[in-house]
Amino acid sequence: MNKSFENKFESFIWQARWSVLTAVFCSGAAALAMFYVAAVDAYYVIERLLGYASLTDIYERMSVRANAIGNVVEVVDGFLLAIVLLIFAFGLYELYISKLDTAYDEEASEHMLSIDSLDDLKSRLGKVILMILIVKFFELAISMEFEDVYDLLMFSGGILLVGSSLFLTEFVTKATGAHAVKSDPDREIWTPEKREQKLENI
Amino acid sequence: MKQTQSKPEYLFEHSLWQLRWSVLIAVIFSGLTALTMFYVAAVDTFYVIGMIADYAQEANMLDRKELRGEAIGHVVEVIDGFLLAIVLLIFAYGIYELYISRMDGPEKHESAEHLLQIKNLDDLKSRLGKVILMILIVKFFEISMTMEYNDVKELTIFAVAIVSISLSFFMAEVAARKDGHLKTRKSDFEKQKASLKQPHTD
Repeated sequence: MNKSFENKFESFIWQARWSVLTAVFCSGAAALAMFYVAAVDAYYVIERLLGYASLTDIYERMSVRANAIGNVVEVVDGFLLAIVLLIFAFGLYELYISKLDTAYDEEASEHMLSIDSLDDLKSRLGKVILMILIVKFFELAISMEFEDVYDLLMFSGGILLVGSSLFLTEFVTKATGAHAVKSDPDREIWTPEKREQKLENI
Repeated sequence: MKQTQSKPEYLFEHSLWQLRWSVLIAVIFSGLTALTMFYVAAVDTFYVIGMIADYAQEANMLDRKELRGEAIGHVVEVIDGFLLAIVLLIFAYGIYELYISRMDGPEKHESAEHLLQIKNLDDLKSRLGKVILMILIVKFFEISMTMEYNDVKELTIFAVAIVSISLSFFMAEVAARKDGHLKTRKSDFEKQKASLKQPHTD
């Protein structure tokens, strides 16, 4: 292949990376949609709970309460998913298009722009899925009827299992230091200024 | 043509070696598939958002719950679709770089670190494996969101399933991090540092 044709071909297929922009837009739009869903959920939960004080029957109150707790957790879960979608959008843009330079001046950039690699994206999606599954388990458990001691024993077994799955995911996160927190002395904030400073120090 | 080679041998070897151009087919089609997956995931996003748009008007709580479960499943599916598309893109570039020629122009670009990261054939295979695992997990997630759970036994079985999923995550994660070749923002920096230490001559 002659050299100029090779160069043209390579820069042509390299343009395909702009298709990642679709993913950035769609992920952002999905994030906004999830914020909307969670906000609507929150509105209905609050609306339903406003009459809680006027319920005089204790059993009725108990069931409303159990339901409400489930819904509140669901709302929080919805917001978590929305935030992860937002982090995704920023992460895709930063990994495959270009660094978001203006964002590095903001304090929040450390947490919003915390995607380091493709594997990181995948493991984050996985963790969100696990969290939603656990919330689903929780919701089901709250509204379930328990009839005898065996049911109770099985329920405790289920709790233990969910606990161990949380342990497993936590273990991975800690062992690999994938998502180091601020208190971690090794944590580096990759702002352009700091990068420049470090480079100058060499 | 070396002295020790006979003419037919040279011709044969030369024509055999030309076979490697067939890899270009894989490059082009892998790229096209990636573009198609971006398109599919974008269409999915469009419909999910359309589905969610009148979420606030849904006054019945059970209807809302069902819609929400479905929407979350689809949102996760969308993200998964984009991940698949990106992996296909990385595949196309990887095959081109491994078997045709290095992409010299694009390699200077800042997102080259993440798009041109295939080092060998095993790398291609393990990436495909990880993507398949992720899609399976998303499938599991989708099914479990719309499943009916009636008694405590089923709840416990659900918990067992959650642990199995997190176990498979754990293993995938450990495998991914062990080889130490994860591309991170930190490795971007290290590379920059190295190139500053010994200014490379082009």
